[in-house]
Amino acid sequence: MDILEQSLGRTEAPAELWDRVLGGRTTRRRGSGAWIVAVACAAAAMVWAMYTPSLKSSDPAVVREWVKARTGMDVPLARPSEVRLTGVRVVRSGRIELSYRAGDRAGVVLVSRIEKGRAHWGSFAVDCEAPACGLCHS
Amino acid sequence: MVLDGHDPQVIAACRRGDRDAFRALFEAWGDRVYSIALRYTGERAQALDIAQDVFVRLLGSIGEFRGEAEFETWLYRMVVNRCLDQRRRARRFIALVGDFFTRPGEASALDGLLRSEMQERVQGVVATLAPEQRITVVLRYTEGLSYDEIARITGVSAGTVASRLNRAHKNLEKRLKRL
Repeated sequence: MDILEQSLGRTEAPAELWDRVLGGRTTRRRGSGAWIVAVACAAAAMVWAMYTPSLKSSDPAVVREWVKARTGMDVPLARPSEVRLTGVRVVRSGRIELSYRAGDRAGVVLVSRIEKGRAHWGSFAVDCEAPACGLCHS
Repeated sequence: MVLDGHDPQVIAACRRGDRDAFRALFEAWGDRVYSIALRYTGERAQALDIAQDVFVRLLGSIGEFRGEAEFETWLYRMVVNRCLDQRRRARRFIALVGDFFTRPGEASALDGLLRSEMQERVQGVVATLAPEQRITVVLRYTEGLSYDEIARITGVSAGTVASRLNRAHKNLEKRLKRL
């Protein structure tokens, strides 16, 4: 079995081994695993963004119908004068995001089915700031 | 002062947390640990992972080394256990020799290439052996250890070592003939 002695002889350890021992952590597999997870998360986020239902419209009646058809939520939108509705997006079942513009400022209003301790808008809970009031109250 | 990694005083210094002593220990044993891991896994990256892990564990556990066994046997056991823990048996792709065009004056270069190719094939075939046979072959042919030494390290009898080597030789012969 000379061939085994020739083929399996001792070899020199790479210089990086000492640095890795001092570092005290395995870089290869854990690193590549984290990298794979990061790529998978980014891909999932892209797919989610691509397939999240959304609508661009400033017509409250159109938005209301669209939301009702997709979520069953009948949101009584007003026709605001100072605030302009720009669109809507279904964040997840039972939760939508209304986009608006007030002057040169853009913002969103999150509307969801009522949860305890949240501001109410009819039968919905809302997260919003002052300029968006006109979306609900004419 | 140059420290000798085989010196028991160096091991004692390592146990006290002396960094220079640990460096000397690494210098003395680094090539051996890496070679065993490389011959066992057949892959540089996996071998580096194993060797790194062994030295990190060694650094953390050398305080527990009481000298009941020889340091050499203790360290070899760590390497062997870490190799056998390597459950992922990566299948190696063994490149086949393509067409060679021999030109005058290239004989020695070609010889070298063929020898290197053959060594790679042998390592590839060794990597396909069952883990117990593989580690026995590596300890025998990479480290040149006796049957008794291998038996102490792997925790089996010398007879079992002989039997594993015998089976490994037969398997290797059979598989190398096919190449």
